[in-house]
Amino acid sequence: MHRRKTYASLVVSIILAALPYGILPLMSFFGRWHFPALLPETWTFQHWGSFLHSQGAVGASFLLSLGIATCTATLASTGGLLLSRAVSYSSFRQGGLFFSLLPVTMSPVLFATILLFYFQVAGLAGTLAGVILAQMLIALPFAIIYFHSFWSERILRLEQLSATLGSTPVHTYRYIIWPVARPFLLVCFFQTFIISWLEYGLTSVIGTGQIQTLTLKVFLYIQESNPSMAALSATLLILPPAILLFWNRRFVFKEVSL
Amino acid sequence: MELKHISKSFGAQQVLTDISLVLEEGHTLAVLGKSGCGKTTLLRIIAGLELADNGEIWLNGKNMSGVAVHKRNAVYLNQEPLLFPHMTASANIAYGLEVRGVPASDIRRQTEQMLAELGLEDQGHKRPHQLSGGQRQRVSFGRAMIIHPSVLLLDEPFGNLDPDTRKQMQELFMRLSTAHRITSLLVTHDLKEAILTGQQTAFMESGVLTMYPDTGAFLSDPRTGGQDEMAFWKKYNQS
Repeated sequence: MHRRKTYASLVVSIILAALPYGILPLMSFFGRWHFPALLPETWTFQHWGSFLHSQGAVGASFLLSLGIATCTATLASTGGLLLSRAVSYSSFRQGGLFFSLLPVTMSPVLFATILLFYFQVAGLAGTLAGVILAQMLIALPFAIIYFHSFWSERILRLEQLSATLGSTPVHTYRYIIWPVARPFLLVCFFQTFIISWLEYGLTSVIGTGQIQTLTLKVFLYIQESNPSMAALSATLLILPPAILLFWNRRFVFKEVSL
Repeated sequence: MELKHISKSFGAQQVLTDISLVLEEGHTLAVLGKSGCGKTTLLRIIAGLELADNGEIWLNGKNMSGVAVHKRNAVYLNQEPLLFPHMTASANIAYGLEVRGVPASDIRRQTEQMLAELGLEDQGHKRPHQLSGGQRQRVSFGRAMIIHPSVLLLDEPFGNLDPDTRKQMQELFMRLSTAHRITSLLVTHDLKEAILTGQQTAFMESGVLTMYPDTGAFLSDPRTGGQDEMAFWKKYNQS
């Protein structure tokens, strides 16, 4: 009986988790649909056609989001690895970690509102660089905290051993630290990619409406009461994280160890 | 290798006090001492991983003051055979040659030769987690010895091994260090290991190093425990 309940709970959980991957693509094919009909009156490829052929607004936002998220995740993962080392091995370790946590604890919209003035002064408000920098303020602290557990006593001893064997610090990073950190880097890249990909508050405020990422587009279509385009945008929104998750599943779902 | 008046303190605690010694080329100096006597700090200072407050380190006639760790050619090995986890046993052994830019054909030949000397001819393709503790320790020795270091610094290298493996590793270490004329400084808390492995012996207590002219003098010092050990076996044999 208990086993049957567990099995049923598992099936329900899987169905609920998989539901967006079925419903959202389906909704993107909805045509005319009037209340109180349970199903749409017409189905259409029009929305996908416009996305696939003319590379319209959604296509541009998709590519823009992809570029921003890839750039943010790459910078945050590599920068986080190096900065985390400095924090982990310094005498200011606890303080460093505390300050790393501060931006993550604040509401992104509130944080962005505070920062907007400085971004405007620096000429970064409403620019691609500004949005990437703003997202880094969330992604980088996350990466620093994530890599903190990587920089253990064992890694330090590996570095020192490599040095005593005649390796320069650059060579040690390239041939010892980088390969050993690879699974950690992949997981961090995945997580910071998701942070950037789904980021709304900082992007909308610092982007000043000029940087229209896919997440912003979903909200825009919902506000416009355009469920088909919102569903299409949302389908595109859940696709890259799902692909990344599938590629990195052996690192994401298994405990990463040395 | 020569150490001149090395001192080190961490805050108010004096860890090493005026340590001087001369270690002849190709010899092993075995330093006996209890945990916390400053042995590890001494090795780390020689390797360049810690800075001494005072004193000089001379390797092959060169003053090592201010010389970076990777330029000292002093390999430091500790109790755990720390192998690079993403590399095979062969790649681990070859690492020091690769960083020195040795041609690939020479690296292959020397690595194969070293694997044979270590008795690991058929284990070169294995990753560290596929090797036993003793095999990992062998690879660790091979990786250090293949680059002919100016000095090999061994921090209780056999401490984690079972008695049989420990004995085998001591014999292997003595054979290899003699064959390759490696100058070594080995610290241990095991009296027999110190006598077996060292051509020169020393005792360290509270950061003060005492060198002995021969094994007899080393055993005669009551602090080393040599007299107690001999008295025990004498009494045991009589009973």
